[in-house]
Amino acid sequence: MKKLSRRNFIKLSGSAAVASAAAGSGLLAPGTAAAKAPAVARSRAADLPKPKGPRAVVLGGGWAGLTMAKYLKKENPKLDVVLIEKRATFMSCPISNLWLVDLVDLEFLSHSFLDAARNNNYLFFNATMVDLDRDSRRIYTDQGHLDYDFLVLCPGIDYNYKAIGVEDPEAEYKLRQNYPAGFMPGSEHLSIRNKLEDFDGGVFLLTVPAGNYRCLPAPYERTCLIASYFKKEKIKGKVILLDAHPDITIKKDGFHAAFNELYKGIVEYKPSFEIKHVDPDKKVVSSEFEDIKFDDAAIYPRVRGAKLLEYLGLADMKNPQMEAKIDPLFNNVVGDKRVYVVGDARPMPYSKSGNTSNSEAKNIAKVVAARSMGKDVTKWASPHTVCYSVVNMEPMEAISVDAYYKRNPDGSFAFDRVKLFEKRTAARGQATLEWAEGLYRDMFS
Amino acid sequence: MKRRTFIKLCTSVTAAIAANPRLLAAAPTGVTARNRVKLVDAKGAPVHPDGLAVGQNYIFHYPFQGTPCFLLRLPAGKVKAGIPLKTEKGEVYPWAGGVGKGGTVVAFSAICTHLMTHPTDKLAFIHYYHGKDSELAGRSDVITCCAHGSVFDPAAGAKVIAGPAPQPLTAIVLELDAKDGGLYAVGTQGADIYHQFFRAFKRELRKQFGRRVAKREVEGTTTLVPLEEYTKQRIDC
Ligand SMILES: Cc1cc2nc3c(=O)[nH]c(=O)nc-3n(C[C@H](O)[C@H](O)[C@H](O)COP(=O)(O)OP(=O)(O)OC[C@H]3O[C@@H](n4cnc5c(N)ncnc54)[C@H](O)[C@@H]3O)c2cc1C
Ligand code: FES
Repeated sequence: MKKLSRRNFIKLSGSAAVASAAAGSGLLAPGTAAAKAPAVARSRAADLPKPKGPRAVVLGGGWAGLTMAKYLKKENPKLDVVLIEKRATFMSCPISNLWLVDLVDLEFLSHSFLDAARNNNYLFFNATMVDLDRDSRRIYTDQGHLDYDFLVLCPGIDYNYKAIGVEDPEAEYKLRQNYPAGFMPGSEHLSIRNKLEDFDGGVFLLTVPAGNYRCLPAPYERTCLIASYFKKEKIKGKVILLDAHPDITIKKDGFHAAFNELYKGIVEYKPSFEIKHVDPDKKVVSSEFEDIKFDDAAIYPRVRGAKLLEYLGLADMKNPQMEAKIDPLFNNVVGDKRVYVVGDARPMPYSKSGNTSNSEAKNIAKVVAARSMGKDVTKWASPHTVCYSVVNMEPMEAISVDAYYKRNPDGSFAFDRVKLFEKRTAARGQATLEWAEGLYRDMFS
Repeated sequence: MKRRTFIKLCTSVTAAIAANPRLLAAAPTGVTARNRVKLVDAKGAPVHPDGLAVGQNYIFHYPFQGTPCFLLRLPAGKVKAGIPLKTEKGEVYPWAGGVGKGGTVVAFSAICTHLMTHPTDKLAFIHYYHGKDSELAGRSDVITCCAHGSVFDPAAGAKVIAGPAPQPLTAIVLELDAKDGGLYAVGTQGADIYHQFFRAFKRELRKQFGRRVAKREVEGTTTLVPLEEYTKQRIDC
């Protein structure tokens, strides 16, 4: 166990230092330009039961949103909680790397939003949010509109292909479809799994984007597992990992050890590789200095806050991460204590992980619940990051990190109480699954 | 016997309160009385405090047939009976403590109050460390749950000393029988997460114990088993 070095900490992006003055002017919704939503959404109210108390709407049934919906109801049972999610089934991003190489089955990753809602006394509304009017406190979806007293937006991330030199939509969509990143759950993952199964040899390319991307260790974990799979299946393949960072961003000793001790000749790690251009037809990724050819790939572009926030005027577009403009302590939209953003769309430089989102959502549920009862929470609570990475298939071995955050006097954030467990063990391999099952229990039962 | 809350606290608490009257403020939250159940060994003989090894994890089921508990004999001189503890809902209760010489024999529900990881016949991610450090806790004499890193202090009523658990492990109230001197479990104290537990683990419990068995209250006797015999694999962290 040792301390995480300062430079391993992903530097706080400018927007994260959003002034705490953000707390704003109380519960009055600020004036927003009422945007245009599709006619059907504008004209018709959603077919939902009448609210039985102050309505708290949660947008996004990911790790943040599912936790938020459950704990809002727990913290203030009077709230009438609705969870809006566009997907019909939950599929887990965490553990998906294990599923890519058959260490778990699809059942392990898939869960029912209906179970989650039924077990925790809220409504699951299978719809896509398209607009928001904060003056009248109305949400527009493709299934009609609904009003809120409190709204927590947990829309997650989107990809930013422009940041890796892909400006042309034609090229972007070739990349999205032919070489999906696999960092938003669903078809992307299914597609990568099929690619692996069909892979006959050659170079399989993976990338680590610049900035504070979703799940710091996941690209390295994926590299290890694909290499492990090549070994097991005796595929004459090589995994090239192009990293925008000067070194592995987290658990670096553990990953380096796996690369060197388990995957010599299979994994080629290229740090400080800043992607300037990708040619999906010729299958070439280029930096200023070098062209890398690949046979197949999962290209992870830069990550940004979900585009929904940009459309709603709630994103900080001056920052390359394009995340939410919110109070860094209590997550409310600056000047509006009725609207919150939680999860990977936040600008605070926490590690964008499921465990972070889960623990952050519990903290912010307390804030929203208190405010819904005319009280307030005045002390910031740190989210908790627990993250296992499986680095070997046979035996299944993992490394892990356990960390909190602290606020520096200048208002920026840093890792705190960091415990790194970089020696790969089978016990941690088992604990990886128990970690996930615990969180699925939290969200769905 | 029906569950009911009784005000009569077991002797160790009464003693602790006598020694420190300020604890009285915390006294009204008592114990949930449950079936009086005798702990027995594999041969059906009563279990005596002196026969227990210090540091060994023992498992028994209480108050339900599918809810595992730890029985521990702690090193002497550290047990803080009567220490005020707080549930997630903010209820304060003075820990009933243990029995035997120095009150060192203590019992807690083995279901983690974070997300309910517990020892099963296959795996034990949560258990007590003695004579060896829990790497996650950075020390020994703690109960650590490897799933998300919660650490509990069994000498202080399984109070949370690190990690995400929002409340102490449920304490199991023990008694020594006046006649045979054996250990009995008589009630629980603190967190009540059994309802959630049965809902979350319905399928797993059916596999391990059979249909509808896990939820039944334990009556008469409950068998004490060393953790290493109860589970196939003990996971350390
Ligand atoms: C391969 C991989 C491995 C990972 N491994 C780990 C790990 O081991 N441990 C860990 O802690 N984390 C891990 N993560 C990270 C984790 O998945 C994310 O950090 C987490 O999902 C973030 O939660 P969120 O709720 O912010 O976003 P998401 O989980 O992405 O949820 C956002 C939800 O909002 C919905 N949504 C968005 N817009 C709309 C709209 N307009 N209308 C309706 N619904 C909408 C989306 O459909 C989605 O369900 C991993 C991620 C990946 C991809
Ligand atoms: S279940 Fe024990 S720490 Fe999470």
